Amino acid sequence: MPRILSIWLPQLPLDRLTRQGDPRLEGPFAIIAEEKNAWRVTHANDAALTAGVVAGQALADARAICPDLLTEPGDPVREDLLLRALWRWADTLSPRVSLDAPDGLLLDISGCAHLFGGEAQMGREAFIRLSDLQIQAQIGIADTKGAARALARFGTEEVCGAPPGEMTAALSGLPIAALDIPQKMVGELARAGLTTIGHLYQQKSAELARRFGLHLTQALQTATGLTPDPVTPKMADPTYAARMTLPEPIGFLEDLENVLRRLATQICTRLEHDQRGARRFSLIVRCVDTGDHPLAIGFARPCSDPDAILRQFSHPLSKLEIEYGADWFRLVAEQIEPIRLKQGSFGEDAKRADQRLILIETLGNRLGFDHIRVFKPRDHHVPELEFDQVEAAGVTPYWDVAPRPRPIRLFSPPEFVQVETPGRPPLNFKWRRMSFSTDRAHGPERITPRWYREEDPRTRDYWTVQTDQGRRLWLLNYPGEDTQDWYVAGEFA
Amino acid sequence: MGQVDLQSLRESRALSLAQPTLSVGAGVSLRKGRTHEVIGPGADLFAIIAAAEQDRGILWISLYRDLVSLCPTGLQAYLNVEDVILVEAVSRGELLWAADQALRAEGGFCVILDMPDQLSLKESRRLQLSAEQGGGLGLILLRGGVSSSAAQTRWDCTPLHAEQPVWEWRCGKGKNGEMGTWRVTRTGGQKRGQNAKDTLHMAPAASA
Repeated sequence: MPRILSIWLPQLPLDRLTRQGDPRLEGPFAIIAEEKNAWRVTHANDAALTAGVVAGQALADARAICPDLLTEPGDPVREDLLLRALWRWADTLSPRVSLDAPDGLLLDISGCAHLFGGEAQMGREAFIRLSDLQIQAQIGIADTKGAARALARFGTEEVCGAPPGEMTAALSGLPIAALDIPQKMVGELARAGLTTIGHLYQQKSAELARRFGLHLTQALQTATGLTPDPVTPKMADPTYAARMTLPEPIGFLEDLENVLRRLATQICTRLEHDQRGARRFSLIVRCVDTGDHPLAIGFARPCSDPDAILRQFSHPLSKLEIEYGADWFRLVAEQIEPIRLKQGSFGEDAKRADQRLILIETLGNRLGFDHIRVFKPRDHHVPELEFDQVEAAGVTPYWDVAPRPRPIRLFSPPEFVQVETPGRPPLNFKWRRMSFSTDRAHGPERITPRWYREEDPRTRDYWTVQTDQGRRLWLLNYPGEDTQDWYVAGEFA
Repeated sequence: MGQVDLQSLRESRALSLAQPTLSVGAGVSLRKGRTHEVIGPGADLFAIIAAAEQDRGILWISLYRDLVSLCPTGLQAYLNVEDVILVEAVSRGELLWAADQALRAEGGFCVILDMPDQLSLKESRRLQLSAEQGGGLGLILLRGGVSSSAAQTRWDCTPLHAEQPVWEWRCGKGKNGEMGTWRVTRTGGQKRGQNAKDTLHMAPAASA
């Protein structure tokens, strides 16, 4: 028989602020959220509760009841982060923990309770440990997830346990809302005179299902343990981070590098064990006088090599200005990716590919990875759309040979030329304040644009022109236009 | 007597420092582990052909305005487009830093630096030292005129007006006396493929 421990965190958003030492919490304070175009109170602290503010109240009403009330909108993302941190923390109680968002955790404690001296003591222990973390909790222990959740939320004490195999009896006194059913159904049941779970036992389940739907009978069956509803534990995502606190502040570059090497080695050993690498590392250096200095580096491929991390950090570290020293460091690996141990090539080729990536990393970390690019082919017939420039990091470059020869310089938009002697193409013209005369011309190559797209709809004629001056230009003209202007679209070698 | 000694000393020193050279074509060779300056309207092509011969990663370091006009569908006739890494710098300082790092890096890359203005002697010496350290090939396209520099050679490249595409490459400065003028034509017809090794053959010009 499995045993489930449910932790309910009724005031999680408030606890988050308490842990930050928010001074507003001394007076009446409430967390609010926008529901159906109205601001409503979702969580109120003790002072506010005493004053008559309750959860679910409209903010205007709450302000009328308690004029001193201070409020803040909820921050679901940070609350979720706190809940996830507690999820990792719950490893101390049981190896099988699942998240019960947005304000709870479910632990499968079968076979764990004796380590704490029994279930009641275990619940008590969890409660005390959470109180130490300044987090209010209510705990329910039962055979099923539904029952444990119900006991945590509607139990009379902080730690509420039901003896094994007696779910029906333990639940009978609890209100219907303790079941995992929609709020609307609770109202419907109350109108039918059914207010506690015990009332439901007296009804035939077929009748209940006919009138209120299968969902109700299903919730009742899972809560009482007639249908299995196991905890599906999920490991919290591992965080690859390491920190170091020093008794005395340090300031020399050499010392900083030693600290970084230790942190990097620690993280990289773990990454390597999990066959993973990180594309980004960020280091926080806390100086004794000027506070935190965040530094970050990137990699062109997942990396788990302390030497590479040190090499890339050497530039930002040398730029760091430390006057009185730093005594706290934290290195975090971000953008974790699996490393596939695959041998792509032998000897020289592999070495060259490595050297190429190292150079891309070095340049990218200073200039920005979006400034290091490679060419990528595109399936298109308009000359300036035949290729793209894409970020070089994380891309294996390839090139499909385009079918037509093009100039090595392509000007987009094309550059206007001043026609001196007209012709097709012009016999004499000026471009970039230089005079040219046409000796031979080859063309036109007519290119029609994609009229069905939002782009320049003019047909183009391209001419390859050998000038008397030597340079070979690619002239462009738009036939069928009123003004017969000429442009230089590119220059051949 | 003393002069002869000096001469022999210079030669032995040159031999001991001898580094592999890159043969671009008949008679034209560029020393690796050195920087070479290229000027003139045909500078792009000179750099492209030298880079193709180098057969390593090619870094084209340039400001945005010069980098966007580079057209791989035109480059494909001369070199492997996959080898090209484009590095966009936003300032003169970044241009020089990137070129310095790329030349210094292990792997003997071919570094093409598109320099919008002049290089001072100090800057060019620094790049030269980096190239010696990394063993790659540094090609500096000087758009803004020349000044005294520490580069190994300086090439003035111009396309000529002729029946078929012809370029004139004139080496106006060479530390080891590589001076001369070459007239370069394109033979072997229009290549569709990427293997551009033999698209260009050199014919030494009458003057040298």
